[in-house]
Amino acid sequence: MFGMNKKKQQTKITEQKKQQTDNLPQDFTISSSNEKFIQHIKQKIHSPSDLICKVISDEIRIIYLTHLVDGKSLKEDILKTLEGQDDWTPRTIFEKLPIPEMESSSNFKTCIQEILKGGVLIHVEGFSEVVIAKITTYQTRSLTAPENESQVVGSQIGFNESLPTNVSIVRRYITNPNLCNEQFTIGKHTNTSLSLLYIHGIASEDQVNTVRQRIQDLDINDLIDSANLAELIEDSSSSIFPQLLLTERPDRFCDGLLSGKLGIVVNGSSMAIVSPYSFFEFFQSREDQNLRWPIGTFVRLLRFIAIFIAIFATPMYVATLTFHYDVIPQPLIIPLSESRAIVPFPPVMEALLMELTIELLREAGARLPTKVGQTIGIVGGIVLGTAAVDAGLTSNVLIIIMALSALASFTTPNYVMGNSIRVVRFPIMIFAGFWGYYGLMLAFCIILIHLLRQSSLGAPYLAPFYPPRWKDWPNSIIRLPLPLIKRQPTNTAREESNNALINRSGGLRGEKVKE
Amino acid sequence: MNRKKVFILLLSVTLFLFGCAQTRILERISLVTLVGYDQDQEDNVKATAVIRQINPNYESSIETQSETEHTSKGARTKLDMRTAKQLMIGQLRVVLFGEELAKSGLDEAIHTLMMNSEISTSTYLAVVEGETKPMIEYKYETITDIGQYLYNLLKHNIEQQQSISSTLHEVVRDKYSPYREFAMPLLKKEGEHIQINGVAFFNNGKMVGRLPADDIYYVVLLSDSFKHGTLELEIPSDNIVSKSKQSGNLQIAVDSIETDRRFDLVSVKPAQFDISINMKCRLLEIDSNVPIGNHQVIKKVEKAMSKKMEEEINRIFKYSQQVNSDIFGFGEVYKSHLSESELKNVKWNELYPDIKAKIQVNVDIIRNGTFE
Repeated sequence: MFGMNKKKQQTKITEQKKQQTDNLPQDFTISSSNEKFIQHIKQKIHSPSDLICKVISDEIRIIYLTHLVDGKSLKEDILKTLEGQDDWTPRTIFEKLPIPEMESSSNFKTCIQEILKGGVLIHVEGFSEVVIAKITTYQTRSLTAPENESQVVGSQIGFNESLPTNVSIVRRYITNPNLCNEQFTIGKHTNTSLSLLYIHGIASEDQVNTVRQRIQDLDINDLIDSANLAELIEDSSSSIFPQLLLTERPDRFCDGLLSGKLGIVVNGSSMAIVSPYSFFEFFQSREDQNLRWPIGTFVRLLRFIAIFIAIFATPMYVATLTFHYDVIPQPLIIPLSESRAIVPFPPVMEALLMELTIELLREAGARLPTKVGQTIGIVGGIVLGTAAVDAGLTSNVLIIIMALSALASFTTPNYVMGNSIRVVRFPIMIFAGFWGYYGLMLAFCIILIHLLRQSSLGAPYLAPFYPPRWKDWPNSIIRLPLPLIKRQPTNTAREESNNALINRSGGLRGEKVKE
Repeated sequence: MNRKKVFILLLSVTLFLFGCAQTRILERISLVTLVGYDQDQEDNVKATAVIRQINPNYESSIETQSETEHTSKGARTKLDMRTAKQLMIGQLRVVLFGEELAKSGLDEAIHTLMMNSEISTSTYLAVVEGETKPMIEYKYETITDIGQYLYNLLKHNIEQQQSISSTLHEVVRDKYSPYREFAMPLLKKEGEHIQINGVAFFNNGKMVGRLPADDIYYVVLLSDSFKHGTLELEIPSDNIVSKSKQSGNLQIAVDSIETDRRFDLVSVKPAQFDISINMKCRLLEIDSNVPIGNHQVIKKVEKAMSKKMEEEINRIFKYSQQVNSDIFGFGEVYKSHLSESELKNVKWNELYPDIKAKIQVNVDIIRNGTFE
């Protein structure tokens, strides 16, 4: 019964809507009559309470959404100018209004778009053309230091949630006529605007085309954050490793653009996308470039070692203690076995339990309000750690190894990649716990094969190590002195881009096109 | 579809094979760190093992167990019945053989050790003067863990080249080569201590001879290139110190920096070798009356040392021929110079006692300022 009622109601509503839309102009033309135009607008956007229609003179009406426009500019620039003179035509308005960003349109759909974005529609009786003054203003967060990708040496500015601000920051870093900015609006419900930025002449045309194609082919309802866009346009969204960089650092973003990568800034999101990005580039930090080169090299190498510690330290412990007691060096055997003497679990259970605890702590730390966070740190770190050892549930050695691997996993300069590294440990640990070193190697091989199969915008993910591009090696492993960096990475190079790119078109999420 | 099948297959294999691997969790097993084999009556082997156990109160204890059986595996099974946790032999570091057993042949014992994949090939083998059991079971005042003690004793001496190296790998390599024999360090219990007391020479798996500890330096010098090691020599003092201060022989000590040892086969029939040893060393100790600043004197010292060393090496070479145990690898050099068909009728064992060798030692004192 209830369902049927609902259905009936729905059909009623749609009928009503149909009637309403019947009144609207079908060919998106603008009515030349003041009253009719206002009525159409009201109908289309369901006469919201913040819609203001002002009568300037007999002929001129201005329409806008009150919270979106800059009141001062409206008053001083538009109203004063319009009131000071009679017999306006759309053409004279367009020419004389002291507003930097204006548009003249005879398309009804554009009018709707623009009024929703904060434009002021100026309609003159008798003309089917509307002048749009874009005096949008809305509150944005001021530019603060990037909190998730902090660095000691280097600029302390981060992107915020406003697209124009973010683009302006990029323009301030790169003052170059070749910096291209292509605007897109996607999302049927949200109409989110985004900018594709690249430097013409450095970025590979093919990659630009690929990204442009992928964005244009998106058929989605909503887009809230750039992370969602990244998921939609990356090569393989089922992989646990990110293929596009999400960064809130403008310097890292511009670094990418300057080495031929493409950047995407999404309105409403403080994370910008950089692509293509290879696996090893995720472990390079902008700060490496800011430090003296031997030190930058040291830090970079440290981070590479940290990947292995993060992934393999605990599984190695598990495998060694479960199966391979014979490889333990003789001086280590007594401390190791004595620390585990009263632990009731097999090593794999012990390790999983503690790793899970660390992950819980991390998650709780990320979700909790800052003030409570400290308490949790103390409870988790000190109470759990010491108490677990005292109670004989874990061994001291495991706590040390685990702390080491947790630390190592947080050295990754990118939080998304850091998460992947942390998650990938669990299956390896289970494999190590059941099959020892054999399982460890098996899991390692599976991950390696998986990584080898990945690509980022068609460029190989494990470059420059596979395919081996010797010339790219120096600047990937160590941080070269700046005068020695002379070539663009092959992944984004223009001359090779034809080979590097897989022919694809129309794929949402970059599915390969069947030939 | 095909991929799906493969995935399901892999998943089920993974699921069903989880837990199939035999676990050997460290604290739930007993670790054998040292095993000694002795000859018992009627061809039986008496095995004595040092076992490290881990107690729940964070302590590890050492116990020794001894059992007699025909095979070493049988002895292990019997030992297993007396220990609370399963015996595991993967941490075995040292294997000792009683002198009597060594003399009656170690072929079987070494073969068994080699066949066991759990045992590391870097396990040290050594022969004990007398029997191993009293040496292992004795309660030493200073030694808490005899397994570890013996391992460290052998390890540091072998690393410093004060003893010949006899890991399972090396012994097996020499044992199965028809052109070479193996040797092992000889251990002796001396009151509260254990010491390396010489080298045991083997022929065909049987211990046939021994040289005292003083000769180890020359044995090592002849069997390998040398990097460490200190040598004490006594050379005649004629011509070196001025007559008035002469007092018989001069004691000097040198520290080898680099030794290059070469065997050259100069004639095949009869087999004749050139042994040339070039030693670069630094002077550690010498009588204060020797004017070491004088280049001529140093030359004389070098000459006297070379002569002395030639004598010593010749003596050791002769001894190895006498017991017919080619532990230095002359046979390998011989073999490498002859083709397979020429080697067909060669029995190196029969040939070795009669080979000739010309020994030439070149001592070069490159530094003389090091006094400790």
